[in-house]
Amino acid sequence: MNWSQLNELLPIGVVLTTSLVVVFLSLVLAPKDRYVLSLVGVAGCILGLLALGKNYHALAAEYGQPPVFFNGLARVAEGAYNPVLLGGAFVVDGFGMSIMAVALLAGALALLCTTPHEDDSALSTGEYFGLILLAVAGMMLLAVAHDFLTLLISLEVMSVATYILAGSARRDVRSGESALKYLVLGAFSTAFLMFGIAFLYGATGSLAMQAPLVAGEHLPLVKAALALILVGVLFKVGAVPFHSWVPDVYEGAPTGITALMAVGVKAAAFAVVARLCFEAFNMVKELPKVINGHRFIEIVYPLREGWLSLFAVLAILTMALGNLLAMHQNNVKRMLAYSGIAHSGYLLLAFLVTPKAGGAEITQHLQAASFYLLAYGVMTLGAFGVLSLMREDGRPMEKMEDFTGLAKEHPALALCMAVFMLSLAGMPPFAGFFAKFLVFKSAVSSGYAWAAVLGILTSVASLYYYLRVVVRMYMAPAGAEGEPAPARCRYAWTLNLLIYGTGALTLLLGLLPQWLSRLY
Amino acid sequence: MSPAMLLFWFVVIVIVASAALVVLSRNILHAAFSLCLCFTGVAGIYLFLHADFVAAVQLIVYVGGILVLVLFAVMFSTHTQEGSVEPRRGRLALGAGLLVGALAFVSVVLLVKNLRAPINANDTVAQARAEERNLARLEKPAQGEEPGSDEEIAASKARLEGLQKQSEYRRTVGVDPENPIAERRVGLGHLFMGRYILPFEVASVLILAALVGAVVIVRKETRA
Repeated sequence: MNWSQLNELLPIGVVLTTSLVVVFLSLVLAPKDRYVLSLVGVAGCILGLLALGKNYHALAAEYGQPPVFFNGLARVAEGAYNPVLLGGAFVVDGFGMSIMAVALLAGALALLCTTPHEDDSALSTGEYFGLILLAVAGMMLLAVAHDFLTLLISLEVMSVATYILAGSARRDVRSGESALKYLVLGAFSTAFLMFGIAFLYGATGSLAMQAPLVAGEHLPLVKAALALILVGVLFKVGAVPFHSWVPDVYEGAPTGITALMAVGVKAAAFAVVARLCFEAFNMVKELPKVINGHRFIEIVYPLREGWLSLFAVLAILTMALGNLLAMHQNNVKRMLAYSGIAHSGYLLLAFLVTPKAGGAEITQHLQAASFYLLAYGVMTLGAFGVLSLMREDGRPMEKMEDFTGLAKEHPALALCMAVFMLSLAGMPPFAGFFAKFLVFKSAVSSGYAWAAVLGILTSVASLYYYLRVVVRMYMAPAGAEGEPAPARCRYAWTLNLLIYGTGALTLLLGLLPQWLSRLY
Repeated sequence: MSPAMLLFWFVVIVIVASAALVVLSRNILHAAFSLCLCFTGVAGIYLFLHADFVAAVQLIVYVGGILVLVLFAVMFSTHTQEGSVEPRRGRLALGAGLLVGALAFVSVVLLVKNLRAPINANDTVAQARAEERNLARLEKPAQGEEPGSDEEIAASKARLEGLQKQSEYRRTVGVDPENPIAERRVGLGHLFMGRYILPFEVASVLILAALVGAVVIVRKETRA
């Protein structure tokens, strides 16, 4: 074993260390100086991003370009770069790194969002910030996990931390409800995941991501195992049959934590979906032909065409239901929760890959998925950031009416919010447009044009509820319903800065999408 | 029926009966004690599976640790007189639960009915060697033997290729070579400190998250 491989885990180590530093620092700081803790946490996230960049450059310098995605045996055979580290426990590839970056961004925003909540003492303790960083570390590990044991444990690190964070606004009854619902349903879904992993180990004697390769005569058991694992992961994603927890949990949790769940948890869970789809389910296509009589050498597509149509149907249902239910919401946070469900549906489209697809096509699909996750992450984080700034007398303002006339009071914030809304709807000059374009293109290229068409229709319909916010901000007559006065807190400038940054990034990713694709 | 089999069925009955008591008992303290019996029974099952280490961990962690905590929590939090838990309504829920449980049980039984220990890489390597010898015999028969037909040779070659591919896959996937039972604990240590060191270490992060979370949940609010 080569211990220098641990270098690849440096970004995660930085985040973990910062979480401990924050917890210990809270012991020596006076309560009024607690805001320093969140800034230390953000510094940790930035350091993590720097470490990530350093690793990326080291790989790029050595191999020209780090592999987009470790795709099973093919990469090992080429021998150029074997990214499977520590005996297969984790894998460092471009895809995993991009998910790590999204998780770090989400963590930074969650840390900054919570500083305005000074009215609630539980939301500015060292433990609270430490837990955010632990959750981020769990997400980052999940993004690179490459055997089912690492996958399960890092998923639990992420989940346990978010269960508690969701319930940390103890003054708010909804927060407790949110935490309880998330915990009970989350534990239930983890049970599915664990059963799946146990079945897989029982059938193949291996916990590696490619274990279905040696399914042999235990194929039915392996299929059942993969289906159970998929249930556990799709729950975290919030795809349709397993979406019912999303609105209540997102609405009740403190806004920063909602952003962390909507972006970080989702990105990490989609990293697992990608590893399942492109390795556990699909890599076995290279197996030799069926040989007469020899049962254990058969071609194994664990869920072959079946799981493709399953994914297509799930994607359609998720898009349709998410957008449909979002239309009736009067609470912007709840509306964003349903919009998050809809976006999970669009993302699922990126995973419709025909079994015959080659490396280039898979790369294209993965780039679509990670661009979508980054774009969605940036604009959703910005929208939740604006939402967490909107407070009056220490009470959150989340209703549609509260946005009335925001453009007059805070033109810059309103502009950013308008950009996020239009981008979430998929309007052309913004990141959301290119993200949807890439995803629909990849769906069309694998022969699921009907799914793409339905996706376009639902995203046109979604314009209705996103524009409601914009219309409220810019066109509704103020005064009649009371002037909104978003109270800015002492340190809100950091959050403002982050909101402007995400706003600029939303525009930049839309105007120069190739800037990102050059990275891999 | 051998004495071991008799003991096994005894353990099974204890587990199922105590599990049913956990769910059906109206006294929460009785439920907690039945849970203790159930956990102990499960440790017995692990012993039957030759997983003595897991059995010991089950006893120490679940029976010794978690269950004592559960009992403490029950005794501290509620008055445990008879009927302190609301009597259950809704036979529908019970029926649905039983139905789902039965379905799950049947499907698991069907799935694992024919389960055998996974073939490890050494097996496929041995099979490939045997196939190599078979192929050599078909291509260059010894004195007085019939050479194989073209189809036979082609089939043998295909089988050989498949077997070689399979052994390569099995090595990649890392199917564990079979350990003698006595060395299982040693093997476990090697795995924890070797191939699975990352998840092993991350488990401590998980415990840290749970600890910090417990502090967050039970902390008294400091400011009015």
